[in-house]
Amino acid sequence: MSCEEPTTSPTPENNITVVSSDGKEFLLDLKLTEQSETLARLISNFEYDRTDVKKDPVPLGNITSAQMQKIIEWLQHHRYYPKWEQNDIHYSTSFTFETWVEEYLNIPNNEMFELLNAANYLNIPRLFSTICRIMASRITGKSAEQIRTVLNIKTDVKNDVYTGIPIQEDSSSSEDGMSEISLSPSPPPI
Amino acid sequence: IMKLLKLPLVVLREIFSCMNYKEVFHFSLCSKQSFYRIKSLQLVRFSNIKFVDFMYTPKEIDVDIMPKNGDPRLHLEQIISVIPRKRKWKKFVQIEIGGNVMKFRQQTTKDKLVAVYDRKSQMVPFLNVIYTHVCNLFGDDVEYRMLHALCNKDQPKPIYENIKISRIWVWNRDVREIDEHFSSLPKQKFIQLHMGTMTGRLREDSKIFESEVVDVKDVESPIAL
Repeated sequence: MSCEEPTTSPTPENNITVVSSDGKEFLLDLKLTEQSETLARLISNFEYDRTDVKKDPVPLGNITSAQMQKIIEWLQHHRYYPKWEQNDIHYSTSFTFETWVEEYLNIPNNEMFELLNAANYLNIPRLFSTICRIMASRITGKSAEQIRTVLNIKTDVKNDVYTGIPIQEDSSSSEDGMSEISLSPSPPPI
Repeated sequence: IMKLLKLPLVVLREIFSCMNYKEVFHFSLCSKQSFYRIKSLQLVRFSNIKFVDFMYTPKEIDVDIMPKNGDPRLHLEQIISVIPRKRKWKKFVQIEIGGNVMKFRQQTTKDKLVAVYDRKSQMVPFLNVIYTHVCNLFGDDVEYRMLHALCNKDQPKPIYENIKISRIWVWNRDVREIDEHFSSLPKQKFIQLHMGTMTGRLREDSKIFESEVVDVKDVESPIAL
């Protein structure tokens, strides 16, 4: 999906300022905020869309400046896209993504989780659903052990099924490092 | 470092809804916490399961799921398949099922798990832990079916309380063994017996007769019901 972007010059009247958790201010076009239900509702409630209303900066205490920049990048790319409609749940992982989206979300898992949290907080359905789908597709075709490694999940029971002897946990699944995986999983060689 | 399981429940639910049954099942094997997250957040999906079918043969353990009518994915979906092999690989993965860690290898071609084991008798522990995990995950409201293939005399016949529909392939086995097998099971809704070369006579008070439907194949065999 792609949309032609008309050229518009933002004016102070159609902007609001949001402040990230680390105190950095971002000027946001009101058109962009329509993609975030949280911001759209806030703007509607405080009537920030009116030119005669003084617009105070909106503090976003849960979102860092790095996340905010990433989110603004997303909002600008999808500025002229039609409104996101949630499809029915099909319990399927056969998703396809735009090249731009794959590049945009080619980030480490922990950044992805933080972005997902931010998308949930700001209620940006398209971004939220896309990250969830990317997360699910990272698990596709993987065994439990591989999922554990990829998502940094520590096992909590360690008894061998035959002997009942406690098993030492593999050091590769420790919390020290976040493993990265490709979108097309390759099983281990036999 | 942020972890997946620390995400808000509404976020986790959305991620899980993007997975198929097999992926959800394998995710539930990762840890106790992942098991409970899946179990609590996928109740609606699991209520849409018509039955779970276990297949147990000396060569393979399969678990398949059939969704109810109305589900767009109305076909048997395999969630785990285990082929036992003698230990010959140096590398294998450890998977926790039912509170125990088992050793597997993942097959590249058919995406099956290959169990790594030393002794023949270890096939039953595999089935036991898989059965326990599946029943704990999907709950008591789901119908569980079992397909047994009893070929060898030393092959055990696992008894499971939740199984309501049994299909048994039998070769070279005594009728009394089958009789005893069903006497240990709860009342079955449906029993299908493929008699093969089995001979003998069932007891008059055999629990097989309590089943709502008994379907006997290979009726030319000299078995008296």
